[in-house]
Amino acid sequence: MSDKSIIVFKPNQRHEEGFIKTWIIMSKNIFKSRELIWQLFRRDFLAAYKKSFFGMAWIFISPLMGIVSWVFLNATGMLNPGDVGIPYPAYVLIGTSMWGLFIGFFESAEATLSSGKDLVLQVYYPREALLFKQTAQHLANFSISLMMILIFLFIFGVTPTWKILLLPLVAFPLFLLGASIGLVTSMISVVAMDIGKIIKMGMSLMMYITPIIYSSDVNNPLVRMIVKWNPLTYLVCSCRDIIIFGRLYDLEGYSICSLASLLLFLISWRLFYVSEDRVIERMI
Amino acid sequence: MINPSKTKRLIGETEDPVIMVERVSKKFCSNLKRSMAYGIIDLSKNLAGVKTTSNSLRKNEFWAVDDVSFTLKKGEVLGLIGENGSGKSSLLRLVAGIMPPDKGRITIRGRVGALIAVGAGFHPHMSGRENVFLNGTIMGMTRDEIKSKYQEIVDFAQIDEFIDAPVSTYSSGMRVRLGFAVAVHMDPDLMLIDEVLAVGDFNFRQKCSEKINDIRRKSAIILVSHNIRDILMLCSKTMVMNKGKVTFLGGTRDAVDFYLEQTNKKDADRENNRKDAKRVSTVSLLYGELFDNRNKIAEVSHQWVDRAGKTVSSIPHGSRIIMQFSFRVLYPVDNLIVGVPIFGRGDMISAMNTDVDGIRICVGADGYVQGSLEIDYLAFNPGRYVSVFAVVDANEFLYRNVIGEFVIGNLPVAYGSVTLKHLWRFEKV
Repeated sequence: MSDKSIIVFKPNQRHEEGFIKTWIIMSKNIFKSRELIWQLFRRDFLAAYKKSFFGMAWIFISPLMGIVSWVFLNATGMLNPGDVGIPYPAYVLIGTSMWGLFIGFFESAEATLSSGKDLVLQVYYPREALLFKQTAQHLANFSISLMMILIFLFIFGVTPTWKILLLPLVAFPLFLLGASIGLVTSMISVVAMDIGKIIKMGMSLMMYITPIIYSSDVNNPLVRMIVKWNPLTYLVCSCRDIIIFGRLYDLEGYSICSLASLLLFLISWRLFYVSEDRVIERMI
Repeated sequence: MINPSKTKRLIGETEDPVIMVERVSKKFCSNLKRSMAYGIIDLSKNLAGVKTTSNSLRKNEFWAVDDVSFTLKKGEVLGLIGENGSGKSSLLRLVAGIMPPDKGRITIRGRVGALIAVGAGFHPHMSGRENVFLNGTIMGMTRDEIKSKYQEIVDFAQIDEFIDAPVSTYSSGMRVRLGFAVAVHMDPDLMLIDEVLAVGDFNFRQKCSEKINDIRRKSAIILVSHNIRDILMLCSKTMVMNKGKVTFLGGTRDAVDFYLEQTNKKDADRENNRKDAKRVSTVSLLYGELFDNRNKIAEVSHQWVDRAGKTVSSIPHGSRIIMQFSFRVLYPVDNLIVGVPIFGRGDMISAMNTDVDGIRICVGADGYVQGSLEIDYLAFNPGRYVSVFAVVDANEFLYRNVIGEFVIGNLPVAYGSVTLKHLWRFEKV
């Protein structure tokens, strides 16, 4: 019997573990639950399309609708996007899809607890796995829609540079930032639904202060300033620029924001680890 | 009210316990809004790096599990009984690791299998086969493990022909069977079973009981059930909980007796607290109209006693039970009849009556009557019974009131309402 693992549950258990140890434990848990992540991913990814006629086509339909509306607004002359360097529809298309990548990371993390509600209350398993399952699902959807977007870019005469291969690396800070805000929101949504809702609304409004549907050289000085101080400007726009221009949006800004995202992620991960039990007992 | 000698013995045995629960407590908040507010406070505290568990209760908080200790070794089955809200399920959730305790410590050696909600995580649009793999993974089995046990699981669940159909087409019984099958095949060291045996048809329940007897050889089991029969059949020891506290921990039969007596007492107290008028109406609704004609009858006394002459409140099945009674009639009677109906769960189970039995009652000087009714073999199955004492003269009730309740216990398996004294015999042909 001595070879059996010993589990101990006691109050404030996770609190007493050091920061670094938390991250090691959580990473190990993720690795150990790869089978579970895969199974849950398969379950939810396939199930989402099993009962719909259009099936996978939905992955293309929603971004297309978005583009149509922006192009229409642009055609009316209501928008004054400034000089964006490439055809406006292509600019909006790639920009919004990168924004979608970020907001998807946020939403995946935000649903970490609620997506597993049926399980969380019945079985004990590393809930960190849910974050990665959610993210994997988002990435799978995103990869499919990216193929579509690339085809559209060709149609508009924009050829992506080979540096598009660097996209996973360049987009990584987006995951860190989205997941860290999402994880915290996920917990807040359980104990205070209203605050969770406000954060979610705030996140979607962020899109308008990020230069993806207009150029960063706008005339309005207030907008210029907001855009300058918005970390998403650097993170999201770098993802876009690496594809169409083969360069980062602003190396210095990007580096600072990436580092900050990493730090934020480590802190919120620790907070999630320490608090998830407290939050889960309020889901009952 | 913990039985001290037994508790000590159980805690004393420390050789290789599968689970050790030491003075564990958990608090809950009874007000939802406040609970959410506490959640926000706790979360902010965590953010600031402050511990969130304390020994004191905040407003509207209460101990859902209060200072519970027990130890369980391989091969032992612990029954957990108590009324709704006594903390059984919360305790199970603590042991399963779904919530952390606020006080105390839980140590588990090995793998925990929880049957708290069977089929948690089943996806309706996926086939039974896919769900077996998914459910097994959730419970912590590896893919190879599931593969090697797959056929066994499907056979146990008896859904061979539907295994490739989506689970949404399954009946609720089939879903439960599949979930149970997966959980019992994961070879846990500690198995938690919460009130899931009650589902499924008769055959499947029998199969589950067999399987539980089978896995207990390799593991320890904690079983929560309201079905006293299951508890008596399966558990080697039993814990009674009330308002989060352990009120009894010991042998299953003693625990069941204690529990039934406790619920009885509570019912009686509740009855006494009500106003007399109301009491009469509810009692008479259940057991017929009550009478006490003080002009015609007085000094009525009646009680159930056992062989030794002690008042009975709880008695083993098959015992001898005697009712002693006496009263005084205040006028010359015509045709006196004494009757004793016995009710179980609101239905009359049996009734004895001097008129039917052709007994003439001798009325002594001063109208004094004293007698007894003896039942040689109490054939009723375990449960709570209420009896009534009635005196009738010339088709008029002089007296009719509840004598008292008694509880019958200690029959491990019983079907129907009574188990008659019987004998099987086979002849060699």
